[in-house]
Amino acid sequence: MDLSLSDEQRLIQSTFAEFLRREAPSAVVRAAEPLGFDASLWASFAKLGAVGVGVSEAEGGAGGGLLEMVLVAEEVGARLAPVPFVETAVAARLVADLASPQGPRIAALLEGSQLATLAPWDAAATPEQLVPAGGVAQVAIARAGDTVLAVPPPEGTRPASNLASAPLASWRIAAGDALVLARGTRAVQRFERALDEWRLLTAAALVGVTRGALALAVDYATHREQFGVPIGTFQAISHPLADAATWLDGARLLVQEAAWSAGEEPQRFPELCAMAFAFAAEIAPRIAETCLHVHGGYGFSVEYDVQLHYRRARGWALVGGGAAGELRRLGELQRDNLDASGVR
Amino acid sequence: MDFRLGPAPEEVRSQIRAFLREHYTEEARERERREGNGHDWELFRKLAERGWVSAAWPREVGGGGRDPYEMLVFQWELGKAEFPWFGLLNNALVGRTLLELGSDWQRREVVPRIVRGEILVALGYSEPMAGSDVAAVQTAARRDGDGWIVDGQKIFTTQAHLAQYVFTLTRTNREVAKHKGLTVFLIPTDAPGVEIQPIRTVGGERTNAVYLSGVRVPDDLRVGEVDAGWKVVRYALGLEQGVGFADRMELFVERARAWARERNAQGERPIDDPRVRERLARASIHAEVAKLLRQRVAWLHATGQSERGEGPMAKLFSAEMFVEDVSDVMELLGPAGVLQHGEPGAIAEGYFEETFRGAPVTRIYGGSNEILRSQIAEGRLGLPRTR
Repeated sequence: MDLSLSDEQRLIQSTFAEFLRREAPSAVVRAAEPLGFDASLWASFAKLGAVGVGVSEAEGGAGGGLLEMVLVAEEVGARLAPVPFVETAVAARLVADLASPQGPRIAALLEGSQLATLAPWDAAATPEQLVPAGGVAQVAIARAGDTVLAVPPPEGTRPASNLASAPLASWRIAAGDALVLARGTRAVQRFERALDEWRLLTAAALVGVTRGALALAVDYATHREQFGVPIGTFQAISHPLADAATWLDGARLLVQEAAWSAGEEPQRFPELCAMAFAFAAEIAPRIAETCLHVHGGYGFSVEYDVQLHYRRARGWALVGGGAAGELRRLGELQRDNLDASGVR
Repeated sequence: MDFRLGPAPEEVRSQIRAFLREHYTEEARERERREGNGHDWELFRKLAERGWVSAAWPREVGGGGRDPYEMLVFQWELGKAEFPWFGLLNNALVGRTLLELGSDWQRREVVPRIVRGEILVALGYSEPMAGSDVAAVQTAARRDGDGWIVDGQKIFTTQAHLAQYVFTLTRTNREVAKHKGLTVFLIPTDAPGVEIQPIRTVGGERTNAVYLSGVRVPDDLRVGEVDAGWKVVRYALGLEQGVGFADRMELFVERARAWARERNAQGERPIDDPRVRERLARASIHAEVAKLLRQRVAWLHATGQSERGEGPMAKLFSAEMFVEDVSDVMELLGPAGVLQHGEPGAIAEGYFEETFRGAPVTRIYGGSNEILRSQIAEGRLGLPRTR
C-alpha cells in the first residue's frame, strides 16, 4: 500500500495550486460571474498544459492518467477557478481515444483554442439537455443510441444563468448537424467510460470546493470572537468542522482509489467512480452549508467568499445528476453486478 | 499510489480465515451469544500458541514483527467474523506496555504468561465519575509498608471476571495536578477485597463493576514510576487507536445484500425495490470510505509518519455511519426485523436485530466520538482547545 503521491504528481499538484492561487483569486472568480468563464485565465491555464494532463505524449499531452487529473480537478475546485477543466480534459481524452478522422483535432483542444465538452445524457432519449460548459464550448461529444457524435452548439445557444455560475447551456442535440465519430458497442463503451471519468473528476472538483469552504470556516472560527473567546473554542462550532474534515478526507481517498483502480483494478472502476461521485455530491453541499453557517450572518452576505462555495457545491453536483441520481445508478449497477456474479 | 495491501497481509487473511473455519464453530458462536464475554479461553489460547498476542511487537523484544498491514488484516478478519477477540487485544496492549514501561520482574515473569495466553488482563480505567475525563479517577492507592492498599471502584471493566489482573489506574497523590498524581497497578482479581459484579449491556456483552476495598498490592505489581501513571496510560491508549468498525461494516453490507436478494413469499426480492438498493448503495459507500480511512492509519504507521487526527477520523466516521446504516436498514426489514436469533422467521437468523442492539456502543467506547472530534479539531484543523 502506498498513499503518497509520486514526485511528478506532487509537482503537477503544486504547479496548478500555485498557478491558481496567483491567477484565480476570488476577485477573478467573482468577475467571471455569472458566466463562470474567464477567457484570459483559460488561455494561460491551457498553456500550462491543463487540458492534456491525461492525454498521452504521443498525442501531444503530458502522458498522465486519471490520478494526475483528479489532483488538478481538486485544485480547480478549491479555487472555484472559472475554467471548464473537467469537461475539456475528459473530452480531450475521449477524442484521443476515439481517434476519428472526423471531429475536433486533438491539437486544437490541447492548446485551448477549441473547447470541447461532453453531453452527458443519451441524446436518443434526451435530445434537449443542459450541457456542462455548453455555454462556452465549440463542440460537444454526444451519444445518440449506438452512435458517438461531435455536435456544434445549436443556433442561438446562450449560457443559462444558474446557481453555480457555471457556463451551462441547454442544447438541442440534432444528429443532422453532427459529425459521426464512431458507432457500435465499442464506441458506446468508450463514451460511457468518459462519463465515468467525468463523474470522477467532478467528484474531485467537489472535494476541492469543500476543502476551500472548510479552510474559510476554520479561519473564521479561529479569528472571530464572541463572548470574549474565538468561536472555534465552542464545540458547537468545532465539532461540525471536525466532521467536515473527516468526511472530506474520506471523499478524497475514495476519489483517489477510483482513479487508481482504472489501471490496477479496472473491473471495479465504474462502481468506484459512481461511489466517489455519489459521496462527494452528498457531502459537498452539506459541508458547504455548515461552513456558511459558521460565518453567521456574514456567511449569508454576498461579500463573503463562502457563499461562492455554497452555490457551486450544490450546483456542480446537481449537473452531474446529484447524489440522489447517482445512488439510483449505483444501486442498479451493484444489483446487476451481484446478479451477474452468481454469488448467492 | 497503490491501494492494495500486498501479498503478506493477504497471506494472513487466508490463514485467519482457515483458522476461523476450523475453530470458530457454530457452537463457539452460540456460547459467545449466550455469555457475551468477548473472550473465549480455548480459542484465545489457540491464537496465542500461534503467536498472535505479541504479533505486532518488534522481533527484538520477542514479538512477531508483523507490520501494520498484517495486523490490520488480522483484526479485520476477526472483527468481520464477530470473533470474541477483545481479550487478545487487551493482552497485546498491556503486554506491550509492560515491555516498554514495566519493571524487569514484570518483563520476566508476567509478559511471557500474557503472551502464551496463560493469563488474561482487563483494562481498569473508567470509574463511575471518570469516563472520558479518565485522569479524574478517584480510586486511591496509598503506601502500606513495602506495598500498597487500594480502595475505590472501577466500571465497564470488561472481562474482569475472567482475568487474572486488572490494569488499574489509581490516584496516588492528591496534592498535584490531576494528571500528575496517577499510578498504574496490576491488581490480581483473586486478591482479598476485590469484588466483581456483572453489568449486562444492550448489545448482549457482559461487562463489570469492580469494587476494591482495602486491596493489598505488592510493589512488584506497580507499572512505571509512582505518579507517572498518565504516561503509562497514554502509551497503552496510543496502541489502540485508529481501529474503528470498517470490518463490521463490510460484514453488514454483505448480510444486507444477501437479505435483499432473497425472494419473499410473494416471490419478490427487496433489492428490486429502488428504495432498498439505494439505501444499500449508501451503506456500501460508507463501508468503502471507512476501509480507506482505516487503511490510511496503517499506512501512516507502516511508513513511520506521525498522525494528525487520522486515527480518530477512522473511528469517528465508521462509528457514525455504522449506527446510521444499521438503523436505516432495520427500517427496511419490516415487522420480522424485530425477531431474535432462534425465533422462527427471524431475518438473517436475527443478525440485524443483534447488530442494531450492539451498534450504539461503537460511538462510545475506544474514545467517545465527542472526544475524537475535539482531537481532530485541534490536531488537524488547528482550532483552539475546545470545551
